[in-house]
Amino acid sequence: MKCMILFLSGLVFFSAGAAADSSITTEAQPILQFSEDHLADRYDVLIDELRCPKCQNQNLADSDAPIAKDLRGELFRLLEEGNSNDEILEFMTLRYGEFVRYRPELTVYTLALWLVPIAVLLSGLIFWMIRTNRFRQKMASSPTEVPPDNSDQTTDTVDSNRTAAAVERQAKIDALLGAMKDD
Amino acid sequence: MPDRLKLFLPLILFLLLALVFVVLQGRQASGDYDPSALPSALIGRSLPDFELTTLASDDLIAVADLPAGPFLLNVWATWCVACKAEHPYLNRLSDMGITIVGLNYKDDRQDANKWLQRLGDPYQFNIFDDEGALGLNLGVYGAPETYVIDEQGIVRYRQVGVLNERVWRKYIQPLGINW
Repeated sequence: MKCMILFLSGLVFFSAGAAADSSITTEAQPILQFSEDHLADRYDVLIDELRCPKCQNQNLADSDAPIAKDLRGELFRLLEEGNSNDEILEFMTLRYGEFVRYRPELTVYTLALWLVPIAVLLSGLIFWMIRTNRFRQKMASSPTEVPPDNSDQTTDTVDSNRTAAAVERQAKIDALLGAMKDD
Repeated sequence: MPDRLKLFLPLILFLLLALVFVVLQGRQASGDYDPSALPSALIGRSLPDFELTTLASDDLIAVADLPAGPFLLNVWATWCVACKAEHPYLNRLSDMGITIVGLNYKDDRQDANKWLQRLGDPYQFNIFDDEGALGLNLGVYGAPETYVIDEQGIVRYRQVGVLNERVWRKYIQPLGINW
């Protein structure tokens, strides 16, 4: 019985999924017919690399904005006309600026984009190196580094500490007693 | 004492960041800063050529038919809500004698003509770009957008979004164009 229910619900689930799938593919994007297969591959690369000017932070492949649709159409046309990738990117940047490229060219204006990640990485490395260096120095100079078998030395220091404290305490007591005598 | 200071470091960092956000938020609210506005690639260049009909008729026009003097090229459409908000200011500019050419962008010809009858027509004429072909060459990515073209036919400024008094004073007046 259980098996039967599972089977039936599975059947319903899969058929619903298939129906939804087919409606999505037929509605959202008309399938482009490239004259040559390699154009389709380049199209896929370029819609990933080009950025939608309207839905910022989405590429042309992701965006549903009308302008993204137009630009995809334009890209299709430019590819079919036999333009190279560089020519297509130039076409797009001439109209929408360097912004439309997710991989902008190295210019004075985009220098920061390219250099900041490297700078952040380097500063992180330097920070890490300084920290580990300091930690090592601390380890080297701290008394806990002293091996525990050297017990004489440690008791010595403890004793001398104790005597120093005792001397100080005695001095305080003497001072107080002196003050009382004066009264 | 420095240890104490270290304790407050996260709080100080938080306050600094909060200050940055408050200032940016304020500038955004006042319209001084728009994080999604893109610089136009057309600034400093002349308008691209085109061959389209006017909104009023089927007559073909090209870039040579555009006014010689300084003018505004306003991208609008009836589906664009902000364009409706912008329209009264365009009427005012037109009354002041400023030449405005419209670019009716991805619109329906009938609807657009009705709109002009109803809300007034501040445009010298309108270019009818129903497929957005000229819009694409201009780098339009929404409406309204307004391009400021100077006496030499060079694009000097692009406003993305509504053109109003504040934008005029802040960005267009300093261009020093003799209207």
